[in-house]
Amino acid sequence: MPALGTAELTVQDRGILATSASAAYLDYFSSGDRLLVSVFQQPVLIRRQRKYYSRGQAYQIEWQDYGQPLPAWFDPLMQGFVDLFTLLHNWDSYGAGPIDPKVVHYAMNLINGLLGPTSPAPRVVPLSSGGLQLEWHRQGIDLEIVFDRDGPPFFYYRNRVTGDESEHTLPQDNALLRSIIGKLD
Amino acid sequence: MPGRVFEDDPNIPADERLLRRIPRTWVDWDEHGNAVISSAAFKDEELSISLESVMARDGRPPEDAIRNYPGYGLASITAAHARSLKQAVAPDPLPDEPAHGVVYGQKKRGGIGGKLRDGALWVVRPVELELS
Amino acid sequence: MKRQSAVPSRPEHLPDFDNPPVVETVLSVQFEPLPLVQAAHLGLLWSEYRAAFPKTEERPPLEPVIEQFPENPAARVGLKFQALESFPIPRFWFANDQGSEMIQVQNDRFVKNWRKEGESHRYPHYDETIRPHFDRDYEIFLAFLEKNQLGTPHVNQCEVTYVNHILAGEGWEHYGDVDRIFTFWRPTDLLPPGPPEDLRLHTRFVIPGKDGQPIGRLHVDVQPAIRTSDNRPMYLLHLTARGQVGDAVDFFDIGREWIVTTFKRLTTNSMHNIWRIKNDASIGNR
Repeated sequence: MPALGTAELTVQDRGILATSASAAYLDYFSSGDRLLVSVFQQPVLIRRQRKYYSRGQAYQIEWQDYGQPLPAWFDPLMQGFVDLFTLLHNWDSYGAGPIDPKVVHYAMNLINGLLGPTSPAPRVVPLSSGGLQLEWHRQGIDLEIVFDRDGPPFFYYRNRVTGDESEHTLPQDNALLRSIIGKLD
Repeated sequence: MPGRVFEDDPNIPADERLLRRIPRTWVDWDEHGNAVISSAAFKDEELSISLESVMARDGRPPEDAIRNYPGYGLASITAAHARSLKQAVAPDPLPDEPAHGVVYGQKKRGGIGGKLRDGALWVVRPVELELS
Repeated sequence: MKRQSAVPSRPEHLPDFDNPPVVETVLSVQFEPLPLVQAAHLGLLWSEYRAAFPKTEERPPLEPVIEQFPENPAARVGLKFQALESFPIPRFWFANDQGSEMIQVQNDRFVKNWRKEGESHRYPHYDETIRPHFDRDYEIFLAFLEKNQLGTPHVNQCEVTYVNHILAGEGWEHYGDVDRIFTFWRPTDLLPPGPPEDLRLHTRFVIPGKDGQPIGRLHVDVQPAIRTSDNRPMYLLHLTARGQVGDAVDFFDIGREWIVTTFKRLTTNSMHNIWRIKNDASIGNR
């Protein structure tokens, strides 16, 4: 992180969030006919890559962001996902097949939008059904987010101290989940 | 995957130990080196287990359930504990595993998988290894 | 395999112009990646279009994008894993000799671009040209997939884009003449801030379906620019409707309706006269 001599924050510091507005437009022909004139520093999405290794195989993750530093949860979380890709048939000893890559990608993109910069990394755990769950067990709280092929994702919350427990469907209750994750910091 | 429905077998006593193989991917090691099982290990609707009494009848110790699975752990829950969570416990002998049984019922929702896990005890702890 | 329904004639309530400032139109259909499609297949696909589209190029693939409701703005977008022994399937361009039509294909996207050929030419209309030609070329793509057993696309998003070059000297002179072009700008001579020097805007609108639930978004982009051929100032007005309804390409008609209606409502009557509006239907305007 560069030293800041003024009150100005860099684009990366501001943590600008990408929305569908960041998606590239598809026009091509007319873009060659014009020059944009307004001198305006627009944050530009850049492509990034990172490699992970598991069980003798190499995987690369690609994404786009504004070049900001990666949070501490990023590597352990992505390693956890790669470890799912390399599970062999019958990994549970009861005939389980591989984990569905579509479920992995969905989980990866959903959780990426829910974790804050200082959130603890969840454990990434496979399900025999081909799905996965992300789980935290901290400060007396059990939080599990289940992703599977047979329905929408949901999360289960239990507070072992108070005995409270509840279950919620995603993405409708994304805001609640984000708030619970925020308390795990 | 699903397709069969199992009825509870009352001949299986409440204190029957139901043995479940636990691969390392379902285990987390806490800061004290304690091996903690994920609820994921207990979420199959048709959850395969080995009935300890059947193994004992055939002169097989519990550890025999993981003889072909080096590095795996072995955990047990009681039939009573499973039934307390509205699960059916039934024998389902297989040609290569006469002690095979099933804990049958919905486990993914309502934290059932986690509550089954809460009642589990280690019979054989897995070895903590680093993935290459 | 789903086939497109017959294209209806132009809905009468839609605004129509004899000389609109549109310079490019794009239709895009995005689907779940077809795992069996390799770069070699896309090269083979070119032979189906080669007579009309003799030019080809390879480009990096476009990232998938789906409008989400509720939206989950993220610091990182488009995370995806790839085994390192495989390479990303590129995007192929097939373009005609005149440089006025282009097909872009990758294993999860089929895109068609049209450009207006010169100022004196009439731009290709959606109902007469754009939609029927898209359907024709997309059918060729679907037939190719079927013939080669490469799978059936499961469409997850459609996109319609209209690009407009609003040139200076026709109803306005300076970039600050924003209120002569657009209806949403309220001018003030009071200092500060006084009249604008220029305007840059990005705004989004949610597109609801018949049941009121969101099915997509309309993105509107306004920027000052210069036409490179003669340095003539212009405003770039870029409208993209992106969304999905059903499992085919029915969103195209909805997106186009939203774009055309919004274009009319965001631009002034005086500009409409310059663009020779043909039917000034009951849609209100300033």
